[in-house]
Amino acid sequence: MNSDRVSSLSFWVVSVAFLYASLHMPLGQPKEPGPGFMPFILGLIMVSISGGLSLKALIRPEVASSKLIEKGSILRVALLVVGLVIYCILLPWVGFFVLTFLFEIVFLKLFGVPKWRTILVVAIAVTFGAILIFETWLHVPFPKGVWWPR
Amino acid sequence: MEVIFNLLHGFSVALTPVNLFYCFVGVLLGTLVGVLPGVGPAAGLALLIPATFGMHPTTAVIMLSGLYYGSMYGGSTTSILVNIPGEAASVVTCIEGHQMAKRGRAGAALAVSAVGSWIAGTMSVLFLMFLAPPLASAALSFGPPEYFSLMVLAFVVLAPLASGSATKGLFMAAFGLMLGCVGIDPISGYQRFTFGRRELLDGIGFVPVVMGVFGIAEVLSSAEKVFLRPEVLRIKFWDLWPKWFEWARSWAAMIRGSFLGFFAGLIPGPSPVIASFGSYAVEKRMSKNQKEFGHGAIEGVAGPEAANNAAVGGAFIPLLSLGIPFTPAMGVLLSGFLIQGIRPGPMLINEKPDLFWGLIASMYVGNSMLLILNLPLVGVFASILRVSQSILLPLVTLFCLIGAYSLNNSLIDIVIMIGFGVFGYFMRKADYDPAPMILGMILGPMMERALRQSLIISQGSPEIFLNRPLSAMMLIAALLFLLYSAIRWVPRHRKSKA
Repeated sequence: MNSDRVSSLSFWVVSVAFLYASLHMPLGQPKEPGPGFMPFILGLIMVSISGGLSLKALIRPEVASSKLIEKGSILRVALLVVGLVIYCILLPWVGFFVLTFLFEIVFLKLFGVPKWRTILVVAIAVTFGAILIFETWLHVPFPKGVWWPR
Repeated sequence: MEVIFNLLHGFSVALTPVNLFYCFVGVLLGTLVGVLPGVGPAAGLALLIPATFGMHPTTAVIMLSGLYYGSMYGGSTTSILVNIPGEAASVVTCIEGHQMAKRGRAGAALAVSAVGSWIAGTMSVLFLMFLAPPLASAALSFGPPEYFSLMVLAFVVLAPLASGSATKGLFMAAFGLMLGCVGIDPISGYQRFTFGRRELLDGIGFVPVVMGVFGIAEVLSSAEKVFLRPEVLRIKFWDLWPKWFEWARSWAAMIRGSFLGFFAGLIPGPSPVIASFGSYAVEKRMSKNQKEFGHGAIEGVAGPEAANNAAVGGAFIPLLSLGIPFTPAMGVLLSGFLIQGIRPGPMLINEKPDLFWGLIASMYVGNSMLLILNLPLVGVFASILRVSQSILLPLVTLFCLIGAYSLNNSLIDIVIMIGFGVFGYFMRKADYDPAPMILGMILGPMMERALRQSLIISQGSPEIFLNRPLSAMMLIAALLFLLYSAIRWVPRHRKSKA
């Protein structure tokens, strides 16, 4: 799959969706433009530019600097994204401190730190550092998790 | 005379212990941001914003600005010692700087780039001090049509300067402007693109988007590579003093770089990057030692390093006197101002002289702090480079998560950040530059207000943009620029077809 085609076509679809949504907003009069005025104009611009880009990509695709998905590395990138999403979901339940510790262990391993001892030392140091800087010094009210006594 | 009096007043603000301390924190973090590959000034600023919430506005602005100009200093260290640019504006420093390091002149290269940065930084603050106030008073006569045309011109100039093609740049700008429309319309109170979600009423948070596109996306791209421990050259303190002939060859390059950089800073777009490449080209052409270029010519370090610092000083002018940011990092700085309840623009200098002149004075102080940080202490920063990337990247990710959460103490900002991180990762692969989108997002609401107000003033006639001379000039310039890009584009593509 050519990344030029995929990207320009998906942008075209997104642009059409935005233009369609903007048609449902009050356009207003030229004398007094409404909330739909700017989105409508932008939608037209987006649809025409991305349409042009798509046509060009279909006829004569550019060779982008890199492929959109590279087989060797996509697994690690996907795991990272999944890790971030899981962090998001678990944050209110598990709480910031425990989750940060676990997260650091997983990410250090994913980024290829070889020794478990290094991983543990760094994860502990980072967690305590984060508590000191953000909780004690900057007073960020992190979620503590469901097991923390209120 | 008035300027000197104002500046003295500024120093009385900048030299209070609190402001001095946070100026130091800002430039120190800036140097770190510059040294570390992967985190650029825009992401660094976004991460620092939550820390400014409890601060006095002047202090906050001093610290944030310190991070921005500080980041231009650190970048050269990485370029020279490891041959990896610490940030985009130091790419060109790798060429000559690392060659010098290989010949054992790393110390001289570091010293010349630190001194060049200092001279350029100080000179650009001087320009800023003299140019911003008159420009601001001229901008007082700007009405909505002028602002609208100025922003149109900015996007047209920015698009081809961004990486990828000009068409892609224009699309990203329009897309960013559209994203800026999300939320409650400030004029009519109508909800746009919110899908009934309460979280989207205030629009898509600008700062988490910057963290995603410039922070998370960068981490994801780095995850593709296999990490090798970089070989960092060691330098001794005594090596830092360049030889006499090296000074003699550098100073003119520094002065040229400062002028070129400052004026490049006034252009919308990645001005520090443009400035450093421009200065390199100039030095290569003007040098008597052309054969040395590519093998460690010291002018090729002094000029570009001066230019990228001066460009940062120049980039403050549109923000402080017009209230319009021209680079993504300046956009983040603008949100830092707005969070503090300050709207930069023509009124700022008269309404908040403490803040404006305090900021200017703090830049003189900060640049001198940076000279000390980057000369005797350069070894300390170089040692950070010996820490493996595989430890630094999880740390950067964690900072992004904490930073996004602490903006509003809500999960939605983390979700936005991760979403735009993934988006930014793919955009980079397809050669779409995120910078026009980021600027579109922050300028969108301003541009829309200017457009609608203009039409209300003119009772619906678009002629208002052409009847006012300044506005007409800017629109014509934008049109000419578009035509020029189109004309240049056609023959190139004919050739590639043949």
